[in-house]
Amino acid sequence: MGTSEGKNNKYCVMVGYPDTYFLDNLLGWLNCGIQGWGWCSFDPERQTMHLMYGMAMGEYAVPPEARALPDSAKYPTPIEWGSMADMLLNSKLIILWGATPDVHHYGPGHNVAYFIRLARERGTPVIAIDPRYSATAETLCDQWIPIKPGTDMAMMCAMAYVLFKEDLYNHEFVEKWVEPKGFDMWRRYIIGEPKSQDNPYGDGVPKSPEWAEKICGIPAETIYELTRLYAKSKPTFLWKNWSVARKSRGENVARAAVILQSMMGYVAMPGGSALANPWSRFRIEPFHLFYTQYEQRAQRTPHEPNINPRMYRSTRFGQMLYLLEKVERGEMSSEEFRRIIGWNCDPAHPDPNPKILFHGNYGFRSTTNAIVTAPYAANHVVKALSRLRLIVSFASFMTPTARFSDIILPVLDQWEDVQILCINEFLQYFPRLVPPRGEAKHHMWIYAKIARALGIGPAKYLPIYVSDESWDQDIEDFFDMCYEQIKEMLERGIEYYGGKVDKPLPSSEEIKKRPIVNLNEYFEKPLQPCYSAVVKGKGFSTKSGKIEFLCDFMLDEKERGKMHFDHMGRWIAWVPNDWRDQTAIPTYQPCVRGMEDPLIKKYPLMLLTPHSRYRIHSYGWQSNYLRENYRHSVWINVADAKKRGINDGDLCLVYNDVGKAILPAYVTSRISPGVVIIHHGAYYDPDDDGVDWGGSPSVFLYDDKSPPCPPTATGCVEIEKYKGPIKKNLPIYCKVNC
Amino acid sequence: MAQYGFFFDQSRCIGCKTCSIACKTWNQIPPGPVKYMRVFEWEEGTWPQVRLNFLAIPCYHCENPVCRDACPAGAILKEDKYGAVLIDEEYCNPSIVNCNRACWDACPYGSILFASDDKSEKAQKCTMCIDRLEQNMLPICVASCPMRALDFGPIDQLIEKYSKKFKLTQQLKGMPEPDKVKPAVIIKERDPHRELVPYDVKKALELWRQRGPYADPDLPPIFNSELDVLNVNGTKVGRDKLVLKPKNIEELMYYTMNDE
Repeated sequence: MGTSEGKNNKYCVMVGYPDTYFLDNLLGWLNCGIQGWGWCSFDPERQTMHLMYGMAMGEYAVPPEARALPDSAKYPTPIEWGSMADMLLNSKLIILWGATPDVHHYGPGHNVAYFIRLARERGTPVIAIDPRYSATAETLCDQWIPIKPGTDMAMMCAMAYVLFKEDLYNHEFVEKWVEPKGFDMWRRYIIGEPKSQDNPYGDGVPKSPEWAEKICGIPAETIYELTRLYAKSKPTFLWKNWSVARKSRGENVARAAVILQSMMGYVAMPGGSALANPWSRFRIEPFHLFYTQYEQRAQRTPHEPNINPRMYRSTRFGQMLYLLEKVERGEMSSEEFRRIIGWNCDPAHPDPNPKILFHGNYGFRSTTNAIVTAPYAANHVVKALSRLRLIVSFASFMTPTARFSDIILPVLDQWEDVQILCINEFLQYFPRLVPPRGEAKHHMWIYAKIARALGIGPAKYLPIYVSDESWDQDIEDFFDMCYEQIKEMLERGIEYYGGKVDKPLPSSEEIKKRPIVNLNEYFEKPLQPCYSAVVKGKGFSTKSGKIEFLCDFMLDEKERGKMHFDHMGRWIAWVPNDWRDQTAIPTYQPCVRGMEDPLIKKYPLMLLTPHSRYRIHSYGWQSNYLRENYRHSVWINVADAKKRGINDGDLCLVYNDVGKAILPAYVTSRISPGVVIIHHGAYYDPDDDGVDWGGSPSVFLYDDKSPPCPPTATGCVEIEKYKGPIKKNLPIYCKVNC
Repeated sequence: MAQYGFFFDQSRCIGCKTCSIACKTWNQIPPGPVKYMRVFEWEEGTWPQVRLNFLAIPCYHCENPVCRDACPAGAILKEDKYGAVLIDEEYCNPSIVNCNRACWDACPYGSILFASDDKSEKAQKCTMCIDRLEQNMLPICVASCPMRALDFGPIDQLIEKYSKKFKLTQQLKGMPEPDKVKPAVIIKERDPHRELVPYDVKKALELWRQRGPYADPDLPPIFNSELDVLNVNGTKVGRDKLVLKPKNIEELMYYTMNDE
């Protein structure tokens, strides 16, 4: 990075993921970096938040002070989505749409599944809409309604249709809080008016339950009755999980869910949901305190809000490399390349020329495992890596991503370091549980050392590093200082949201002894979504001050190819320059590589890749204490297994046009026919022919046609019984077949 | 003699195995088949009318411990303070006694565990976390359950507490008859599901059979006839029954693993 190759060579160091403040700033000083945009599963919802609620969240578009101050004049809509406890107390119906609170973020480690169970025990009806019969459907729900994956938008359209036709929607709320032009356009589209100036996506087809049932596989009567129940249950906690939008054209469904809740006014009722995320209002992480001096950062092009240009959708970082070769060989135009990778910066930049790939720690403590967890054709990615001069990784484990690196910088794992987080109304202090292993170091220590080696002194970058000797004390002091600031912020936030700080939050010394603070205790009234906009009457920070169903720049072809900014000049970080065929109001668009795709002829099964209960992404894959509890397998319906002569436990070859993997089959009636599941996060372990023996579904995921905001996590595959030789060690207990 | 025991609320269990993992951690048991707390999961029915069963099962520390009676070496005892059934490791010497796992044969619940299929392997089992009880802590499985599906205490008190609220059983479908051994457990069965909105299964099957109207007409149907989905015969389905006493380590691992 310090040589002529790196220094001031604008497009030469690439970063897979975006926004590690340390790395971003470091590359900014050198003026050599390019980055991905988009952060994770939640991106279609982030886009929705900005377009519909006017909420630019996170990233550099929002200065840190806006995140810290909930009611800053400039950004009056902070994150506020109600709380889990309120759902329990105030929801009249809970719909878990693709949501499995028994797993992952909401899983055994949290209380969400328990709260829902308690709500149900107290009589609140709970419905699961999901292609698989999960433990959630069994234990938390009264009823399971299987839906064809990727068709959720058709179902939501049909629900809106019933709300219009039977006049069940909340006129008062809509009048006051929904921007009328977009509402009208949505109504015309749903009712089935022909195409017109006011109905640009009109096709004359009423989006009725009779229309939807053939698409989504849910009988029309069920859709009618569900919608009536939904309209009657004031409010409904509609939890449309990220998974639903993590498909091609998932932007539609992310926005449509907000539309439904807005039509009913449930977005702003205690016990309702504003839908981006079931998380609560206080989500303050100390990241912003790590920023370095902004005003001194590297030169940028005019109107470019980033230090380093965001040239590609982060999950397509490997695809960017892969396709770049095609561009260089003249097999692909630069325009097409930019459309596919999701160019999201000044169009004047030339195409990138990356020589170094730097996998930092991406905001989280420890590490990344982008080859496995960034869901894009792992075989393409690995092939493309060979064009690079140098690959550097932060790592706590020998992940596949670390394996494909030249230099591994051992970084502290989360258990080896202290941490403070405030999520779900819980302020939590995480102590250091185990001492660092080997030469593992704090990520900030590593960044500071690299910066110094490059001649960037402490005055400019990470001043907290003074010397190795004083580091332990310095970082502890720094932590305490961060905590005190968080504490102040929270106290302000509690007051703002109508709570009372009648007992002070613990000091930095006290929190270490009392590591969990339940902020619910500071409130008498229930927490609820859209508090400042609706309850305080401040309005949304959209142009109209209301919830906007319509994203008007998408109707203007002249805007295509430019960067997009909202009425306040904030960069709309989750809409790339070319939004491809994303529509200005959400519409039903068949899922590319879904159950209606022509590819089905060759690869007739639609693959879903949900999180496993026993990993956070790939974290935990290597733990045998966890691995002894599950078999990493491919779920397949009895009908599909029978057709292929597959029995439970048979080793199978799963394949499509971009990948192959070997896994044992789980034959079950719990997964819908035509659909298969491989859980996300298994370690990629290819043999010489590129067949993955680790069973990582990232080898199958690819989409060059859809708008690039959702990190596509589905695809089409075919499965056959594997009869070849065993070429690699199978994951433990994989061979079991009784 | 006191008798402590477990309450298991099947209607709350999500089969996550936190209890099992916590048990291994507390008791420092390496990964593998010695699972004092086993969690079974098995499915019933056919798509889309499928149900799941969960059973988290430690040792039930029976009032009439037939494992104790079966052991030729007298290595199993029932202690007085809590009624815990414990193995004295020192006296358990299968290679000398040549007992051929008499305790395992006797126990109807499969609660005796071995580290391998080697017949000389010593027997191991749940200790009721008697070490924790002595420190006024609940057994680790109970304390760790994120769904609060487990409770522990003097069994008569548990019965008193829960029989007012729930219909209790000692025998889920597929479990052995409890009268002979008198297990110290009470179980609340899983709930029936409610049809909140009408759902016509026959129609749903036909809708699922076809590709949607936006698909090319020449795409194959998702399946040819509803019988493909409804008739599971002739194909081995994963974990479709409760097998409390798997015949070897491999089977034990299979039945105590899920695919989540």
